[in-house]
Amino acid sequence: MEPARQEHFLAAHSACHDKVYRYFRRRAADPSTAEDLCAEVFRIAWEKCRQDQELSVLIVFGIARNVLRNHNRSAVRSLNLAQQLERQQTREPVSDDGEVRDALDRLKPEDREVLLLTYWDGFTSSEVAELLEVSATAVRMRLHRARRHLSQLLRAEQETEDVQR
Amino acid sequence: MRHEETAALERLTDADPGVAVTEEELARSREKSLAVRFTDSEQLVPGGSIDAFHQRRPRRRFRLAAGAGLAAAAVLAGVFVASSLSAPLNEQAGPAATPSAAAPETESSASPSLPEIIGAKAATGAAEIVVGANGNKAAVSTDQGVNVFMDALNSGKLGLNSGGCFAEIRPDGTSMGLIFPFGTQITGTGVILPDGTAVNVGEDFAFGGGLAPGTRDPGVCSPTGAAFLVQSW
Repeated sequence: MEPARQEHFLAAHSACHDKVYRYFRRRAADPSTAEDLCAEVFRIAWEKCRQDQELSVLIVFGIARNVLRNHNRSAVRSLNLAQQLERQQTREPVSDDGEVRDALDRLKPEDREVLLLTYWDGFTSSEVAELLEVSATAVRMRLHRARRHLSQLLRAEQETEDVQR
Repeated sequence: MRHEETAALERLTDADPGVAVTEEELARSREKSLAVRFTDSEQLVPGGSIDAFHQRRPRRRFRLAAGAGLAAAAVLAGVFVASSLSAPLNEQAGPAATPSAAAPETESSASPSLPEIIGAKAATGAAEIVVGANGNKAAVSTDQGVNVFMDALNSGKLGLNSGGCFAEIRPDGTSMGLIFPFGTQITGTGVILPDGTAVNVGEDFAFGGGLAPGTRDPGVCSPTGAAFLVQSW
């Protein structure tokens, strides 16, 4: 095995693995899926190392986003409605705060992505912009909109709960 | 930032599922993702490496050469038999001395139809759309026993096109139709090629073959018209 390729790969793995695994854990149904997706990302990274391509954190996350998108697309296609219902019933709770999860589900996908990449994955606005291939201004606008909308949704849910009591 | 927004973001941060990831989970995933180095990615290309794919070429060329040789021999034998049956015996005794004497032989040898070439069967491009249990579709060749293969390499990623048909999905979102070899089966997540090789959606592939011959329409599996006929993998 070529030492330079090994070194290149290990450096990228060490810098990115935990972040990438957590990225999948936040978005995939269970740990084993997150593990599989993570391994797929590094399989692609290993191949890129052979071609001596750059492997920065953002490039590895770009791979991760594509892997997740393909996974979601194939999952949607391959699961019929009954299976999806069953999956939802047996799915581990992604977070303990169901209200937050519901509110996140109601955000626009592009706003949610910016919000999660910022507050869960810890990327800066410029990094999110590079990752999503949009301008930093667009990211800041989406982030502003997402924060405001999330806060409105959580407040509305709180008010509904208060009325019901 | 308003107080309400700050409170919402605090709840968002607290609800982060990434916080609950254990060191054990991470260690398991690290081990698995590091192991990709020992299963060289070349071997993960469905059906073997691209190098291995190219190493098949001499074998196929040998088969092609053998087929062509057999066909040539059959043509020569046919010409010889046809001319010996149609020409009078006394004309076969010696070589023709003049062009006028050779003329009847030329006419008699050109008229019979050439014998059928046996041992070489090329794809016609005929295909049918097979629908899997979950509604996914794939164009599958109906040509059975093909032994003349095209040598173009098509590498890419398997996905589903807008018609729900397995196709090559390019990075820019466009798709290229694929016609899978005779005997391909559809699974929930991809296809199983005749030798049992599974190719799933999202996986990279390296298929050998070429543009499907003929003008047959592969329907929803190739809305753009042209489709790549998969013949080796």
